[in-house]
Amino acid sequence: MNAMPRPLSGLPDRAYRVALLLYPRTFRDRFGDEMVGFFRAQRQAAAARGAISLARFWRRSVTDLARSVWRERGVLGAMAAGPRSLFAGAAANIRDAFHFLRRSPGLGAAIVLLMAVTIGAATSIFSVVNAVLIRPLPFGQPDRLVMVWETRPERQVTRNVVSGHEFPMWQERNRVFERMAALTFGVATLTGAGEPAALTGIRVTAGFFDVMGVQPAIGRAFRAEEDTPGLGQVVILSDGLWRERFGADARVLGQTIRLNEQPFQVVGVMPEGFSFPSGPAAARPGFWSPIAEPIHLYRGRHYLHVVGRLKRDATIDDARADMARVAQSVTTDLPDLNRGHETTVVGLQSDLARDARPSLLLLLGAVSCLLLVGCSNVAGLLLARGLARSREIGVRLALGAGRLGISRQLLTEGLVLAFIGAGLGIAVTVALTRVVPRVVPREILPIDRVGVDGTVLLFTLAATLLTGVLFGLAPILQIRRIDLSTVLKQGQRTIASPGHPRVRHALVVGQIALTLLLVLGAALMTRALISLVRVDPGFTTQGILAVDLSLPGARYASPGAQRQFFDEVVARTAAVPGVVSAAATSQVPIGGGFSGISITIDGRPAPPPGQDESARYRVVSAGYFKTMGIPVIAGRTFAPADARISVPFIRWFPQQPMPAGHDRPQTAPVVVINQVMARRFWPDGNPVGGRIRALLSPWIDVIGVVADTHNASLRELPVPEFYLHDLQEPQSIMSLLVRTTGDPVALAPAIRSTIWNLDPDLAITSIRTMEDVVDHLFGLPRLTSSLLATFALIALALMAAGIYGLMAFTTRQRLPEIGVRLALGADRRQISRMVMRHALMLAAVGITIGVAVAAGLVGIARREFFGVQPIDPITWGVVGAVLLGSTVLACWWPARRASRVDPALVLRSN
Amino acid sequence: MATRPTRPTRLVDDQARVALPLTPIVMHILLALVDRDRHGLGIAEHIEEFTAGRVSLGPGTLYGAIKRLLETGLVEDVESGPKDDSQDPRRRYYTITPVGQRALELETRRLADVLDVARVKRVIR
Repeated sequence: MNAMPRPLSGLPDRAYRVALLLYPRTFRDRFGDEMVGFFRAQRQAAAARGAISLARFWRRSVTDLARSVWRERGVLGAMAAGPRSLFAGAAANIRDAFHFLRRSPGLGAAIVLLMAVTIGAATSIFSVVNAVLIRPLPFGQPDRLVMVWETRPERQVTRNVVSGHEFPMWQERNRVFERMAALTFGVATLTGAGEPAALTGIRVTAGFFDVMGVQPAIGRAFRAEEDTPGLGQVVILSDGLWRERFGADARVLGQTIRLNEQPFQVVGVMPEGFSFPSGPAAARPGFWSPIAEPIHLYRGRHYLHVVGRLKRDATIDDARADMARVAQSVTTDLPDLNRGHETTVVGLQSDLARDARPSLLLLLGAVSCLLLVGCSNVAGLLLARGLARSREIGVRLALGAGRLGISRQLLTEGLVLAFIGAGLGIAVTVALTRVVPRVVPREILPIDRVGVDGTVLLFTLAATLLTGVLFGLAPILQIRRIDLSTVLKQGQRTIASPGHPRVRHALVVGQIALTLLLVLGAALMTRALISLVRVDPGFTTQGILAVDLSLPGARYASPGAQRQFFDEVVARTAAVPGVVSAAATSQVPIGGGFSGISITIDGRPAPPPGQDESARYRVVSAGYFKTMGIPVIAGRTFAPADARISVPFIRWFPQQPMPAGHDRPQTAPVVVINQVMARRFWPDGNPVGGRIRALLSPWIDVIGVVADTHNASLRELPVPEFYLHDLQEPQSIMSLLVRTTGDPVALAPAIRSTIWNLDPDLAITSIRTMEDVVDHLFGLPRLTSSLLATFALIALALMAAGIYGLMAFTTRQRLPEIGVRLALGADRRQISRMVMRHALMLAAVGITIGVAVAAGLVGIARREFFGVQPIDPITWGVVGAVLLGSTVLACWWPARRASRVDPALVLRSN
Repeated sequence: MATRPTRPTRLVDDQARVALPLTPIVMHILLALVDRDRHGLGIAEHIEEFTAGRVSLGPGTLYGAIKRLLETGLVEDVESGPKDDSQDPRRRYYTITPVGQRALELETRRLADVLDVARVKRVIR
């Protein structure tokens, strides 16, 4: 860590010292110095761990201060003894505030409603931000938990899973981690406890639970020796699985359960709420078991997720520096294997929230804009009322009331309104947080933890105080301008002094600028969503059902058995009436992740060590391309005649034995590649007839080229990818893809019974339509853009109301002038044009400011606007036109009224 | 539990009983001081470490508790702490008194009794 003190770094400590004045003097004298030292040490430690820790530190410090001051002062006692001395003035002010509310209930209700909507919206968004980005994860000292990924800067790979041989070396050579653990996902079928169920299981290295800082609620964690091949038949259940399948019975400890038809002894149950790893897209783990395999032998097999616990005094930056050193030393020792492999260290919370974070921050920014629009709107309303009250205030001043006292009164009114609004706003949030998790799928946001907690309340309190003070301040600025003699002389028909509208003009201009930001953000986000929806995935989604299957290890241990099952199930499914074609794939496109493997191209010069090429691959059955509607560009695809005697042909590590029958004469391994791969590796020739090797495989003949597809995500361009034949490289976990004539969901029962006819004990992990799979991708952008559109519409309505109020007011103010003009023969249309011109000028200023700010901001949010040029004249032009149009609409009525004035009436009354 | 009938022990005992029951924070502070004297920050860090971050004290809470511990005589402050890290002269070290030791022991025994009942009733294992 760099220990250079920044010039401002002492400021928080000084502020804390000032805050100590809240404590009784004796306490402060005795402990003050120690407390400041304590505070500084904790703050520096938190700052070193990053922004989230620092935010949490501040939140904790505020509560600590409030709670202990309360206690040391014995505030409760003091209040019982003499509350008057403490609160007398405030109570009177509050009473007065309510009195005014009663006198103008319409205005009061409007303001309260406005604040309820804007504070409610802000609090709701913040409660999600809090749940995803701020609230500590339910692990021991979560600030110290990080994920470590491998990176390949040369190939723009920023977050690669870690290879088997790398993890033990990292573990041994690092100096920053108290402990590290690696884990990998698996699927297992649980039998013997009710219906067979496919569960997500996590296989972990020794010490995983110590890294996480959470121990089983009952039973024990794994012993170090259980992470040894042959000794790992123990399992720890999740709380959910324990309740669902074992009736929350503690006697399950010591029992043996069957996972993939292997016996596992239950040794523990995790506490409720412990669910790791479980990102937004991953299913919740049902159990954990030791990885218990010789991972150090699995060179080049990238399959481990690595989590580490930093040493007490280590920061993430320390960890990055240290892991860079470790990666370097591994490369030095294994230059052939590891050249170009670097590492990255990411805080666990940031890592889990990486997908949702940009959208959430965008929404938080948007809702803050909305809050400000609402605020300045209320300020405008209070100003208008303040003008009507300037006589009353003038009288008070004349009677000797201090300006300070009156300011306090106005401020209190503002705060009372804001707090009533905030109360309703929190009610809105509580209601929303009950409803939203049911509406928004978990895959989009990990929002099962959303709720109103201390942090959210603190946020609401801050927002309320800020808004209350902001709109209480406007009338205060105004009373400074009240000139007693004019106010009293002019009597009831007070005309504001020329300074007042300037504040209101500024408020309206501000509303227009903020609204522009919101409308523009909503428009760009919607266009981004449209361009995402329009991306052609390269395969058909209509009428296709995806059925995820996982074969239990014991009965389907041999690749031959796996091959036979999937071959049979595809054939039988294809025969179901209503099914056009069926196929199997190791990963459902878009919805099933992907695997990468390093490859060698026959005839190309061998790349320098460590810079070998890699490509993604999936294993599919012969009917895959036809079923998914992927066109064949050159050559052929797979045929039944490709079946090999010896399977599989890819080996993962040199010690792995050759499969039985590998030396018998048989058909060659074959591969179908996509167009990107063809262009990349055969830039000027026909790839068909060429050969590749995948890791430690024999040569594989390229037999065909198929069109590119978006197999992993719609946002990224297709990458080199190849397909292997499941008759040559069988898998135990595959998905059935079924193309149907009618509604695919209607065929689900028939397909399910076809599968169970073949194997009644097989768990079906999930059945979904491909349309649903792709649709999930749009969930978060759709949610974001619809929320932004809602905020934009509210802001637009508020802005229009603000413009209307101001124009109605200034028109009334200018009635005498208008009367004179009309009397002197001015055209009525000229009069309404004059009013319009005034409003449009404000709009022009507001839009100009808004555009300038937006131009600065879009750069930051660029990545969120997929497929859209952020500064695009059409969108910006339309948004500007919408704002101008709303302005015209808002001042149409005041303009019309101004032009209908009867000059005689006006002049006479003056 | 047997208490020896010598006078000073009984005095300590009586004084300790006055302080019962102990709040969880107070217990944690006393436990932190059992094996060595510590300054405020050291106490907080020790507690955080031992509870894997579940108990994390702010300065106000910690020194409020220390104040009451000093008042009830369960801890005392020491002139100069262990020599190995006394760079900061403002750091005062706190030490547990015999009364504090006794109070901690009594409270722990009481909790152990509760624990036994809970085990028998299978609230926990």
